[in-house]
Amino acid sequence: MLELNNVSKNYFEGNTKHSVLNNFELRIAKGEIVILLGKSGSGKSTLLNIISGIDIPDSGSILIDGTDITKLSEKDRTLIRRKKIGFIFQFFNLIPTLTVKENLQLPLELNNEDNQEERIKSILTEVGLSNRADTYPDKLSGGEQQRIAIARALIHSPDIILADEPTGNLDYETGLQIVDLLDRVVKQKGKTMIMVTHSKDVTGLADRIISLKDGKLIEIKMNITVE
Amino acid sequence: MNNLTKSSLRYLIKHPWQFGLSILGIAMGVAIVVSIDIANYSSATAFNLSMNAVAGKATHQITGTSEGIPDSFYNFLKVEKGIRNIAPVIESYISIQDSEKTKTSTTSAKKVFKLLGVDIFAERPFRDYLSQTGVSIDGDLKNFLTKPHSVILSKESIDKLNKVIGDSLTIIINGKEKIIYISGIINEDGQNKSALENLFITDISSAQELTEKKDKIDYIDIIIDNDSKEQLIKSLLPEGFQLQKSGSRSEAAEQMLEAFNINLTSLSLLALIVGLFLIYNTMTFSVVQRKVLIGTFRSIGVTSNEISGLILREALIMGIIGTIVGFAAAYFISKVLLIFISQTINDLYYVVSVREIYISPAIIIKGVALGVFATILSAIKPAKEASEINPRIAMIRSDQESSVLKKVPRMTIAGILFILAGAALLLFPSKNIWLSYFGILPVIIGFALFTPLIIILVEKTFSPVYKKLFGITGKMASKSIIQNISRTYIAIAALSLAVAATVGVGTMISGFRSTVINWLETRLNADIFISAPNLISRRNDAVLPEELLLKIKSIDEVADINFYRELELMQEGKKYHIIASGLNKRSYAGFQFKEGNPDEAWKKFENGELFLSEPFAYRYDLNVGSILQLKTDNGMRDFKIAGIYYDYASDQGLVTMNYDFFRKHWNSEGLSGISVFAKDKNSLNLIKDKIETIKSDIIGQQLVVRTYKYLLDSSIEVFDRTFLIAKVLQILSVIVAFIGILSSLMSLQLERSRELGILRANGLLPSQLFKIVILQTFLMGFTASIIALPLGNILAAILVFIINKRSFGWTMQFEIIPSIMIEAIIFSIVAAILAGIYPGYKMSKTSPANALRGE
Repeated sequence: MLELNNVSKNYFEGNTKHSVLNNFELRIAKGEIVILLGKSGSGKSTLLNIISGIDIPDSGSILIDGTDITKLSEKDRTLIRRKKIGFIFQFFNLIPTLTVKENLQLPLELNNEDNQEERIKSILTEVGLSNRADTYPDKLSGGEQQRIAIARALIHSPDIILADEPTGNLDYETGLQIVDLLDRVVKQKGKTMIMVTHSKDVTGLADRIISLKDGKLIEIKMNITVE
Repeated sequence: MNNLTKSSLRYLIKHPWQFGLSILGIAMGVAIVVSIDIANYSSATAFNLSMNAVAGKATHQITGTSEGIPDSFYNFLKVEKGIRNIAPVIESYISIQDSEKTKTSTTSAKKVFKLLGVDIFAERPFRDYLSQTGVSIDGDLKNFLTKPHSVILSKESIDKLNKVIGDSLTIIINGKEKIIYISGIINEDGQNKSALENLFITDISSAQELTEKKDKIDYIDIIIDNDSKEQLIKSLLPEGFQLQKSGSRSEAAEQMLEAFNINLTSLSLLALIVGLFLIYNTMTFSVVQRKVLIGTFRSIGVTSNEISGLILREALIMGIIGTIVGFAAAYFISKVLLIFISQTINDLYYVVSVREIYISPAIIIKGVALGVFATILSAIKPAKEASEINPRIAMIRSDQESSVLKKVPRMTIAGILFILAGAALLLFPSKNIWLSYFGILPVIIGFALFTPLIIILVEKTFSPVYKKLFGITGKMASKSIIQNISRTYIAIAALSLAVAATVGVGTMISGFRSTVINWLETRLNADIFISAPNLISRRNDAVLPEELLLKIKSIDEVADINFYRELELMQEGKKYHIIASGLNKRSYAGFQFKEGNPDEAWKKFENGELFLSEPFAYRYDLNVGSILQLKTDNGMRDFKIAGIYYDYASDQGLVTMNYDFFRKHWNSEGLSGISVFAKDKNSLNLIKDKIETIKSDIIGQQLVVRTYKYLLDSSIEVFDRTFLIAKVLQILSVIVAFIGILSSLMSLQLERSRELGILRANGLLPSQLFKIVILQTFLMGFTASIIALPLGNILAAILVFIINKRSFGWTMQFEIIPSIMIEAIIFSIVAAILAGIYPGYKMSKTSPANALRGE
């Protein structure tokens, strides 16, 4: 489903070149949950940006269902992202001027999808917030916002979920609830997800745990304690 | 409505003050531009309506020499040649002193009307209001035809004068007092109602008596419906007579006002440009405020074009609302401006009485185009910036101020290029006024692009000073301007533009004023000035009898006199203003020559060659040695130019010639003015008394007798009145810029609430927060003034050396005036501080708990 072939990405600070991804290779099958570990600045967010088409690598190819997105224009990459990717952010990033229902409706509108009301209702039930449809995000707790954010990422049935530290801005208890939700709505439904995290409680979801070091992928065995 | 649009609209509603202020800025800009247009158009329309009311259905007019047309010629055409549809006309202006008695006082004001003398039996084809079609005339028509000096006038005029049929009126006509009798009322309900309001109609022979034109008429109206009739008429015209189309006088009047209107319109556009900065300011802010949000949109698949479309739609909404509000305000502002503008037109150009507002479709289209489309134009860059926001922003929280700082070198270079482009446009040899204004725009943009560099330099200079004087709060105040440079630089640029406009216009007016005063002091070298009462302050349209000259010369206390005669020539659709001067040699020094050696020039002048004023020579590309053709009473004649002199009496320009040579070519009797040189300066009052005695010997003659000082002061008063509008427009531009600063600071307050909450949580007092804001705004105002001063003086130089030159042809003084610059600095700082008071108060009230709470 997702292939990264010889992907390299560099950043320059002044005249100094930093190699974030160095001939990086990655294959992710449909339905796989992959956790991405790494130190700060190791390139985890860069990897997510490249996979989602937000950024393009300096070299290499990225295939999503056979389409090399590095060859596409920025507009086409956006359209692919609209259809095939669901994003979950650390800071939730709900649209503050839209209600919960409208936040969920937005991806469906962008994709011109039908049965919007039904799908919104269904996913709100799944995330346990069907009574908050008409609430604005600033009236929700952190945990509730992240649940809505997860619902938004899933509602248009994307092929890949990208999650950037989804529990990073939550307390421990709430974080556990989110992990539990991700288990139910992502893992158990066989969706593909790549998640960046520092939380060891999330590793339980993973089919694979990988790490980035010196721009290269390192496979880590399952059930290793994360420091 | 889709959710992207909903999100956008709710954002606008959630920030009512921010967008409300922007809408106010657009509304004010549109209001000023449209109200100036309405006032100009209303004045022109009122004049054209009055011209049309007089011209009626006439297609052409026959005009004669400077003396007019002998009525025998009219009889020749009508009776001998049997030409149909012709009518004789005499036209003049009259003034009536109108005294209003109230319970507490009696006030008096001069009211001006037009007197039309017609042959009622020839009128039917020409003027509806005399042919009883849709019109009624109350009163006794027999009296109108038989009683001398009878007039009929509109119902509005009679009501205004508080008179009834049968009453008499004392009028001043051509400088003489006469009595007229009201014998009828015109009741007209058509388009002519407003034009007829100021029209008095009398029989042609009464008009001849009232104007003392003896056997003359002013012109003959004629309806020509085929070429052969036109050729026949032309073949019958004696030397010096002309057949011209009816509209030529209106066209000539429009031409006179062209430069005046353009300059007024351009000043009004300045207010709109400042308003557009405001829009750019607001849209840029709103994009910066919503960076994370826009990044989120982009992350979930909203394309760049959809983002830029969102921003442009917001601008469109603001533009539409602002334009509607602007039009509403324009209606009221135009009523006030109309008073100033029609006063200036009456002072300087022609008599017009403007009662109504007229709005043309072109004014509406222009207002909408400026308000709506210009708003969208100013939102293009922010929309582009929004579309370029990297979706990565959604995942990181760091501020992006560094991006503006990185662009400073590029912006500075771009600023230099813009200024050079503007200079190229301005220095391009052309007389086109609009090209000059298009050249100013890149100069303004160029200076605006320097703003971030100036901010950095000011901060580097002031940061240590502020820290030394005010401690850590001082340092924070100065640093915060850089830290929030993406917001602050636009607000500072807008304020600097408004202040620069104040400096520029103020410096230009001051230089012009000094030039005019110097010129007046040199030119007005007599002690007493005598003329008939005139309706236009800078033109004498009434004449004095020549017998007055000898009588005044014979006064013992009089050392010498000058005299002159003014004449307006209509020639090829243009109005030429001739001054025939009888000057004593001591007055020669009053002429300062731009071209031509004075000694040689005066010798040639005494031999019949002409002097041209600078504006005239500029307008018609004439130099010393050129030939100017003039329509004399004996036909077209060539005149050589002996000299070109500086003169500020008329922006239309003057043609000056020796009086004796004037009388060889024109048969106009009478004098327009006499100036008296006293033997002893202490005898001025005695001379004035003797002049009064002489005046009373000439029946009905009115004289205006003014001393040098009085004439100087009243001339300056007219000058000051003319530029009152410019000053009003300047003030309005500054108000718009003030709104810009206020808007920026309010936005900053919102943006920084978390940061301020942290500061408060760390122990900063509300008073210290307020102090930071005030110190910050002081520095913003000072920075704006640093940009405004050079820009303002450059604008002044452009106005003096290019725009006024191209508009009017005048050479004016230019000097940098320290007092204006000091005022500008103070004003800029005070405006910024005032704009910071409310946001400072709000910031100081920021609750640490609320600010620090998570999203």
